[in-house]
Amino acid sequence: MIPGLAPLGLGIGWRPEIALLIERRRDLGFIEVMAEDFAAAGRLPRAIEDLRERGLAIVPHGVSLSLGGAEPPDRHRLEALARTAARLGAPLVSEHIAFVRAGGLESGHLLPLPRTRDTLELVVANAREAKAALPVPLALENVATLFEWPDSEMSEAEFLTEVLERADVLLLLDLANLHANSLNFGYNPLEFIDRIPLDRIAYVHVAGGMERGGLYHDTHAHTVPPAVLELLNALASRIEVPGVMLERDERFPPDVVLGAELSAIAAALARGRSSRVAARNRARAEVTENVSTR
Amino acid sequence: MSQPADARAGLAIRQADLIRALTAHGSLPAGFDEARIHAAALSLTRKRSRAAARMWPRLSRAAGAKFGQLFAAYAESAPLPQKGGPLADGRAFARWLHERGELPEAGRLEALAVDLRYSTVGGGLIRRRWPAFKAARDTGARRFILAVRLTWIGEYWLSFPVRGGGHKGPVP
Repeated sequence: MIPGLAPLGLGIGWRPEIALLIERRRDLGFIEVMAEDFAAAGRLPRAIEDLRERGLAIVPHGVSLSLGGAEPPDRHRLEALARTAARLGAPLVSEHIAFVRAGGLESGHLLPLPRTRDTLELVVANAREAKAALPVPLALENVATLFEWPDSEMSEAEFLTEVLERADVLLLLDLANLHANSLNFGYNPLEFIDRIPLDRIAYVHVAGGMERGGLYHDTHAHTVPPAVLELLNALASRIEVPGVMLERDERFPPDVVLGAELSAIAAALARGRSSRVAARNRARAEVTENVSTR
Repeated sequence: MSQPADARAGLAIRQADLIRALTAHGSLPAGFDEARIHAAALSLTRKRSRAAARMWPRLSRAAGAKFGQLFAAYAESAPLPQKGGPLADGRAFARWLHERGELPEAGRLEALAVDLRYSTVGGGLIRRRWPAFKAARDTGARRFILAVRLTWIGEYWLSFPVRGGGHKGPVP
């Protein structure tokens, strides 16, 4: 739980294709919107305005700040993101620990960073600058990648932890990205979870993907794999997860299928939470027993 | 706070090299896994193609199954536009197809609609502020199309049959 930030609950990335499903679903606490799509001034689209009036939190999710880029974040982009947050009445905004452009070239994708001390300094400086320019807290997300830089000095968990703590920003933990990287680089995702500052989690992403050519691709166009739901369960058994949402960007299934997926996410969260509560109650009972038998 | 300027400059060069490698314009930077970079480059092009197709539904429908292949060929020679995202990317793709005589009629009309609202600048598309006027000949339906966009007022599309016959009615 983050002080001053109300839990977000269950959410989904708002896309026009699934606007009706989102409108009908009554158990949602928040939606995430593509920040760059809502940068214009003026009235919000009716569908978004309706959700806001219903009390859903709206979180702008940026993909263009390039906080892992060599250049400091662009003033105009930062100002636009700050305006978007104000326009949406957002409780926080989120971005990525990644770079998207360099030397005037746009990659069109969130690319990973060389995990070196030098890069760490730059990302921390960029993230601090972004944080200072925004009217609400900033959460940064771990990205998925198919390749690594050759000169990384730190593990992903170590680098992520350093960025979050030194820039003093929140974490948007993407469990699908963690799942993808753990498969493609052969590490244990639970060890990753145990090494990062879970108390900085603002909310969590889950999404689907697929295997192609021996690699797992985080597509946001396929069903959420059971392993990602298991990670959510594991996370919820460790901490009270303040918010979790589904990211689906393409190949939208019928609403009933996507709705079932949202329910599966809520169920995984509830499973993890109840096992945590049960463990806590067991521990309390043991203490009481020890005291009474003394 | 003092910024390590050397580190910034060095990283900028390495990141730009990596982007060039991933978008098929540059050689593989030293030390990277070639197969992984190749897989990432492929997935980037697919993503770029799908994003452009979503913003250009009529062009993508008209191109059908060939869309992905044609787009990949275009993307190899054209970097991602700096402004305007997938809409601008699709506009540049439409121009590329036009130069090869492969732009379908539906794509040409879709480009007309985009040009009415956006002007092409070096780095991509920017929204027009002033009234715009476009004309095109639709050879398929044998008609001549005039399109006007007036600031604050709206857009008007007029369609005239050419050489008798042709098609009357609303412009798609």
